[in-house]
This record gives sequence, structure tokens and C-alpha cells, in this order.
Amino acid sequence: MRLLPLLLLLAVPARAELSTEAAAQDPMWLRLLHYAPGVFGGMRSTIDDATWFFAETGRDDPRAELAATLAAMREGREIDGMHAVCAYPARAAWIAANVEGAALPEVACPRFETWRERMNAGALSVIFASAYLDNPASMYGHTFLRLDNKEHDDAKRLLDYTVNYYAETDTMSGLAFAWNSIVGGYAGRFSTLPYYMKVQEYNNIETRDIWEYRLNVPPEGVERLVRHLWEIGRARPTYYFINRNCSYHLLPLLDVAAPGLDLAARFRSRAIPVDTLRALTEVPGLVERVEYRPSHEKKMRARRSLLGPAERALAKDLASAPSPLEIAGFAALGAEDQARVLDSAYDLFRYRIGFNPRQPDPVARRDAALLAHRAKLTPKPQALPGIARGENPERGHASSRFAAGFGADKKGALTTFEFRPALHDTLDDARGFLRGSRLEMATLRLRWEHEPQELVFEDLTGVDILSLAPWDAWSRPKSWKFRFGFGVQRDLAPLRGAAHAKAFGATFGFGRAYDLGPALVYALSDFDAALGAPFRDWYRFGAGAEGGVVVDAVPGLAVHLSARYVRYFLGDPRGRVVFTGGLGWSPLKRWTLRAQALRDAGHQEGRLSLGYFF
Amino acid sequence: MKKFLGIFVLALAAASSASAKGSHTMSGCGLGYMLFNTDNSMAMQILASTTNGTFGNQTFGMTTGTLGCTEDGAVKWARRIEAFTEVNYTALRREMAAGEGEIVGTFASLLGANDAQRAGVVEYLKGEYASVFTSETLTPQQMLNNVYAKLAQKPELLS
Repeated sequence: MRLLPLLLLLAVPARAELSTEAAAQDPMWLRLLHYAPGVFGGMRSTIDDATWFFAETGRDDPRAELAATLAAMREGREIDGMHAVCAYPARAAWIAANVEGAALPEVACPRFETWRERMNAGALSVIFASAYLDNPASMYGHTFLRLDNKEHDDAKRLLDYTVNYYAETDTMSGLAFAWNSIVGGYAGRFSTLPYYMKVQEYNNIETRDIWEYRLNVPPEGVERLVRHLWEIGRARPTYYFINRNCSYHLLPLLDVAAPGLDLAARFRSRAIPVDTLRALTEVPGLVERVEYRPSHEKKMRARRSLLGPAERALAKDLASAPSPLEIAGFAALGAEDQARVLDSAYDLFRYRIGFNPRQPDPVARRDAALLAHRAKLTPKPQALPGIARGENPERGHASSRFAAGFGADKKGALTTFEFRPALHDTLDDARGFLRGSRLEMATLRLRWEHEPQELVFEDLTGVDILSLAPWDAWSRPKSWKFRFGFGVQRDLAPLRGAAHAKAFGATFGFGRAYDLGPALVYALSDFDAALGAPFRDWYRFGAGAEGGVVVDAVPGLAVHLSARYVRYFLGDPRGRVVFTGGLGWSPLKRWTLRAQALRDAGHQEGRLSLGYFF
Repeated sequence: MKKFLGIFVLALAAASSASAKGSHTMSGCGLGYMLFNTDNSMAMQILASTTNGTFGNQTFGMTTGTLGCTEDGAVKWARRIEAFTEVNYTALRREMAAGEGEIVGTFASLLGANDAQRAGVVEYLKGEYASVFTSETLTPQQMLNNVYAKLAQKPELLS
């Protein structure tokens, strides 16, 4: 164990000239404690864990916290079995270098030193895990930090460590989980897992793409961040899905590493991972390069494209056969062809089985047989053709949209307003998003009717998701939709008047979509339920189907037509036929024009709107 | 002196367990299984995307002290090969059979290969695949023991 006094780690020339008064207001002190301007003035740390502070009022009082930190370090208070200086190395280093008369004791910090050596951080990267395969609900993605090891070249990247903020959950069961995540029912913590664990998790188990944003941060900043990570590792700030999630908590860390960034301040009310990525790429010179790791499913499809149709069929059979040699036609192939077919077959086998090493015996036997045979074939795997990366995630349109427009229905003319905090639908420019997808949350729609003049509430959507996954014989994705919200039930509006046709509604359905090249065509089942005053028995439930097409051949221009039929057979029975047609054109990054038409039972309307992304 | 004896005994125990072939199916880091004991259903995906789940997070919390193969949020240096092998076992077997890949390349580096020696080690392991993977239900620890034995037979690969 090397006995290296902590204070010798400083790369910053000592200033040691600030009075405690001045130091408490110094921007770096405020950054190290994650202070943000409070709602009623003053400062409040976004770390809401009282045990992370030395002063009782530490969370709201930088001066008290500095004084208490100084006191604790001078007296050598023990924290988690460590000297206070060793538990808070970033604070200690900064105080020693900047605060007049700090006189902090020189202490050996073996636990911190050992951990620091393991991290061996030379550079920083922000890593983005994109949406789960065919699940637009996860289009927000996830970000974490990677500490790029000084001694590792790209061939050893997997051995680097990552920094993750996560919610500590005891059970993860659907609704309870959703509720707790939003209202702050979970404490959050920071962990440092090896990158190879994250790559296994995201690329393979969850079939998600990974994007790596290598940052240009001076070594002094990286060292300061590493010291800060050790002290933040003790904190348990409450997790909030909307604004104190994985993406938010990386920002104060980056602010500590590169003080000029000031990122955290821009994301206090809402932190969507893609938005934080965008903020990084907009800082000149910060993002050095962007690397891409495709998911297992993407690699599987790329490798399959190297096979001819007969070979593809062989590979598919092989993936479910007890042994390769039992498949007629396989043994007759030459070694190179066998290798190619077997590599694809194994991709499919793995995709279907999953990556869990514990499998039932028959599966383990097939696994062993496929690999044993592959090992006997000399040819190496053929190089994969370039996998279409698509647009970088941060190059997609901005997350929020406000739109206003004109329209008309049977009653007369109207002006429409729509505010959508997040995120994307089928008429928006799909570059940077999943094709044929919709994820909308908390969308508010209003209209101003002209005859008679009246502001009418149309709709507040809780969640609206559509996933049109092009059918593939190997991955067999399901297409699906789910929506719930409160608003006008348009088919009843002409009968009851819009004011009396409002209800809580939920829809869900699943089916298939097919890729026709320039368009996606789909058919989904449709189960629709609603609760409210307009219905004879205060509710209704029905089943039916929806079919449609999304034409997106030209980037920035999309057309979506759909036809839907629902037969309500419980509570207020009736049939309902809905036709929708929409065209979206985004000539500029931030602007989009839409023309939409709707026919819902007796209701008809058309509208033209202009939307702005921000 | 007592401390030295204690360490000596521990080292002996460690050495003997390392050379025992296939006798401890429940030993190891337990990291591989941690990755798979979670709910990956559609309902979970919606919020799991930003909550980050619990894949190994508890074990790798900083300042959590010593837990099996980790200490304070890092893999113990002495267990790093084991940990890597467990987590990547499925992909590692595949790339060993194919004779190429990022994971088997990283594995070779962990075994001590430098840039120039990596390809040679990977090729050798592919050639010895059948004698490394001696059973369908081989555990990562057993596989590692076999790999060490094979590498010991060809010391020039890592010299």
C-alpha cells in the first residue's frame, strides 16, 4: 500500500488566498456541492440527502457547510470508516488549494487510492443507450459516464469503468414502479460498473444500440471529477423520473470536470437524455468523436445480408436443429460457406434463447454442438457490412413542440393550439428516432371556436405510444399501440356537444407492420375503454381493428393514413368508424407544417398547423 | 508472524481452489447471473430506460466495502479475469469458437497478451476449443482453469 498524502495529488497550483467567506461563494465550491439557486433566493443543493452534508443546514447554506467541512476535516472525524479528508477528497483538495489558513491534516487514503488506481481515468465519455428494440416508450434512452482508462486503447475499452446513477428499487412491479419513479419514492445512488457489464446489458440482453461521445476535457478536470466521484458515491439523492434521473445527475459531474460548461442549470426542470446529449454536442470542441455499437439484433441482420436465400433458409433451420450435421445441405457446403451460415445461425439461436448462460439441457447441447462445429472451421467470421447508423440521436428534432393552426368542422371555423412536452410522432421528421413510432406524454390540445366564440378544451393525453416494427422473419417483432388520456370523445361530440362528451379513455392494440420500402403498412387490433358522463352507463368498452400506412420515403416529409373500426358492446353500445389522414413537412429543423383531416363517426374536421420544436 | 501465517494459509486455500476442476459450481463472483435475474418485460422497459435498473449496481456502489469480487465499486484486481469471464461467458464462448472478436481479444489481453501476442493467443484457443470446453455444462470457472492449463503448455505465446 503506497502511502501517498492526498494533497500531493493536486495538479492545480496552490492559491490558498480565499477567506472562508469568499470561498463559500466560489463557483467551484458551489459546484462541488451541487448548489442551485433556490426558489426563494439563496442556494439549495440538488442532493437532498442530509447525511451527505456536514452542517445541519448544509443543504441550504454554503457558508455553514464550508465551516462544518473544515471543522470535520481538521478534527479528523470518521465517515464510513475513513478520515473525513479521505471520504471527501475533492472538497479537501479544493479547500487546501484555495482557502486561506485551511491547515488540513495530511492523511493517507488507501481505500480511495486503490479505487482511483482501478479507475485510472485519463478521459471522459458520455454513453447513450438508445431505445429498446421496437419500444418507442423507451425512446428517451439512458445516459451514463465512462472513465476512459489511461492505459487502455480501443481494444481494451470494455475494461474501462463507468459511472451510473440508478434508482434503488426493492421490487420492480409495473404500476408501483411507475408511480414511485415519478413521485420520488426511490433513493438514487451512484455505481461504477465495468463497461463490459453495460455493453452486455444494453447491446445483448436489451438489444439496444450504444453511442459513445468521447469528450475533450483537460486531465486536471478529469482528476478533479474522479475525486468528486468518490465523495458523491456516499450520497443518496432521491430519484425523480422527470428531472432528477440518470441524465440530470451526470450534468453536475460534468460541470465539476469542465467548469465552463454550466450544464446542470439548463436541465433543472426536465432532463431528457437526448436533450442533454444535444447540449454536449453544441459546446464547440467538447465532443471529440462519436462511436457506435449496434445491438445484437442489428448485427444479426447485417450478417444475414451476406447470405443468399438458400443459405438464409439453412441458417434458420440450423438455429433450431439439435446438431448442424443433421441439416441436409449443410454438410455439403465448403468450409467458408459453412462458417458464414453457421455464424448467422448462431446469431439467430442466441437472439431467440437470450444471453443467459444457464439454459435447460437440450438447449445447452444445441449450443455446444453449434460452437464445437464452428471451432473446427478455420475461416474467420466475414466482416460485417456497414450497419446503417442512422442519424445520431441528438440530431433529431428537439423534444418539445408547440403548434398553432386553423381548421374547420361542421360547426364552423376554429383556431387550434397544441403543446407537446415530449416527444415524437409519425408526422414528425423521423431522423434520429425509431421509424414509424409515436411517443407523446402530457400533450395538451385546445381550440378556439369562432361560431360562437369559445375556448374549448380538447384533450390532455397522458401517454400515447405507437410502435410499427417492420416484420422480420427472424426477429418477429410485434407492433402495438397504447394510449390513455382525458378528452372529448369525438364520435359523441355532435350528439352531446363537445362540453358533454369528455371522458377518460384508454386504448390498446397489437398486430403487425410490413416494410414496403417507401412506406410501412400495418394492421392492429383495437381495444378501447372509456369512463365518464357521456356514456349511458358511465363507461363503455369495445373491440375492433385499425389499419393504416405511413409513407416516409422522403426525409422530412411524412404521410400517415389510417382507418379504424370499434364496436362498443358494453355500456352505451354503438359502432364507431374513424378515418384519419395527415401530412407533415419539416423543411427546417425547428419548424414543421401539418395538414390533418379526421372523420370520427358523425364528426368531421380538417386543420392546417405550424409547429415549432424547442 | 501470525499475520504472515494467516496470509500463507489463505494463499494456499486460494491456490488449491483455483486448481480444483469443477468442484465449486456455486463459487465465483456471481456477476454473470446478476445480469439475468431481472424483469425485461415491456412494462418495465418504459421506465427502466432512465431508472437504470439494478444490474449489478448495488454490488458496484462506491464505498460499499468488500463484497465478493468487488471492493468499493471496482473489481478486485485478483478477480478481474474471473469477473470478465462470468459476465461475458456467452459471447466469449462464441468468439473463441469463431477465432475473432472484441471480447475474446480483451480476454487475451487479460490473460497477459500484449498487442502483438493477442491474435496468436486467440488462434491457439480456437484450435484447443474442444479441450477447453470439455462439457456442455461447463462453468466459467472450469473453463478458465482449462484455459490456464492449455496456456501453460505453450508458454511462448505470452512470453
